[in-house]
Amino acid sequence: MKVSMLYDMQACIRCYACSVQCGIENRARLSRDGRGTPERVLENQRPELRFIFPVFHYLGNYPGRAVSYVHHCMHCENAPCARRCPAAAIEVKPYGPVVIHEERCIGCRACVEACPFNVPRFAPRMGKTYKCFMCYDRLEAGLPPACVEACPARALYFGTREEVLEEGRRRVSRYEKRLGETFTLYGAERVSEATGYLHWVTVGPAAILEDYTLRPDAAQKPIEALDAVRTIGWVLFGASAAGVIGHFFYSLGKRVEE
Amino acid sequence: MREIQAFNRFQRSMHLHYIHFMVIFFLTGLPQVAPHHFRWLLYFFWVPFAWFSPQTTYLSGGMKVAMVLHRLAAVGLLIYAPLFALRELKNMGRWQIWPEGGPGAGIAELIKHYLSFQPGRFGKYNFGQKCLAWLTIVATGIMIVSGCILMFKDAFSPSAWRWARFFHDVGFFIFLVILPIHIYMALHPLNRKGFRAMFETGTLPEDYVKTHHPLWWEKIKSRGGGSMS
Repeated sequence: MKVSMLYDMQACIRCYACSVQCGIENRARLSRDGRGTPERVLENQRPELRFIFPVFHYLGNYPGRAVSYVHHCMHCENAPCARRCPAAAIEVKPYGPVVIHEERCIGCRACVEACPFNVPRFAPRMGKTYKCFMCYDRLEAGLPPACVEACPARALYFGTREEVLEEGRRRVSRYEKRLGETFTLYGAERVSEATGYLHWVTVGPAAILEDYTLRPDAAQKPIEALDAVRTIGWVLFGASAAGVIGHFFYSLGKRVEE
Repeated sequence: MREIQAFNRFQRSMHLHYIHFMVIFFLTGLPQVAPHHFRWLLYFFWVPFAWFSPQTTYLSGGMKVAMVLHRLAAVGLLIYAPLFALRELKNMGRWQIWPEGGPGAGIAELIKHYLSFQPGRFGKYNFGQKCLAWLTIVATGIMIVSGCILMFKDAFSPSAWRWARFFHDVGFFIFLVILPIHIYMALHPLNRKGFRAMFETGTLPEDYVKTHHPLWWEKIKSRGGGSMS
């Protein structure tokens, strides 16, 4: 059974309790996993362990329009990061979340190159890359992700995929009715070939979703084109190898004739 | 019998070291470009490394070692290639890889040589060798530029990394396609004299040059010398 998350841009009150709780949970997790005392792990700042946080950017000509979007992993169905990780450090759990196993990460940043949403963050001090793994250990223990538990406005919602999509569609239709504006449930359907559908769906006004990095057809074109390059490359290599083998036998035949 | 110099010591040394670099690049690069098929190579890099770092796995430790070796070989190439390029650029006018006749004639001579086993009317290099030389120059340039971007990622934007990754793959596949042909042709008995010139003596017998490289022989005669790069 697949699980999913929902982020409701309209309901979000921008308190960022999710971000604070994420940082606390991830440091507490280190202590739970026996990687330091609670005092030691909380003493270390470890900003890379905050997997959901606001990002400010300006749109248009100076001074522009300030927009802050919530940066987090989308947990893509096809997970380009997992497909490109040469060390197989990224796992797509059968129930949906995309998990980086820190101990296997070699810090090559192939996932940073591949991610259509620029999510993974490289921490030079640790030599590794970090991103949200949807508190998969909590999920496996029957608990919701920490950020969902912290949200006072129910802008974050967690459940089975069916429950989340149903809740998302309910919110979309309610907002459209009340505000007279088109809303989208981004990620409910396939976003692009590269990503597939998303396990972290977003409810937001359709007109401004792109300002919040939620692009239709999200993909890193040069990285996705690698598949075509590699297919063509291997076919040409096969043709060249076949030519070489063919000429070798042709030469042998000629020699016997002589 | 008189011998004609085909390759000088520096060219032969560059060719030999290019082979060394290529072996390292391929062994360490294949697990990165096609991890599902070549991950087994990582065991060989990881086993000695695991002695120092037993908590790693063959995937994490082996890949890390492979990447370090890949970069060390790249540093070696970065030292060697510019020296070679600077020396060769000086003699650009005398390069024997410029076109001589059209591609149709070049291919016809190749067929005559490799399918009928009769000496073709070649210059110092035949049409196939010239194509290979130019593809090697282009692919080496692509690999060096894109490799530098990937090696010094912090100095470039992620967008530059992505295009560098794309072109590094393109360069790799150019080599993957042309190298089996080049190695096979070098080892083929038809080209035994050329192999000996590249790896042993640097020279070709005069009679062989007259019969197998007539266009080159005409140039040598017109210049009145016995050595052309």
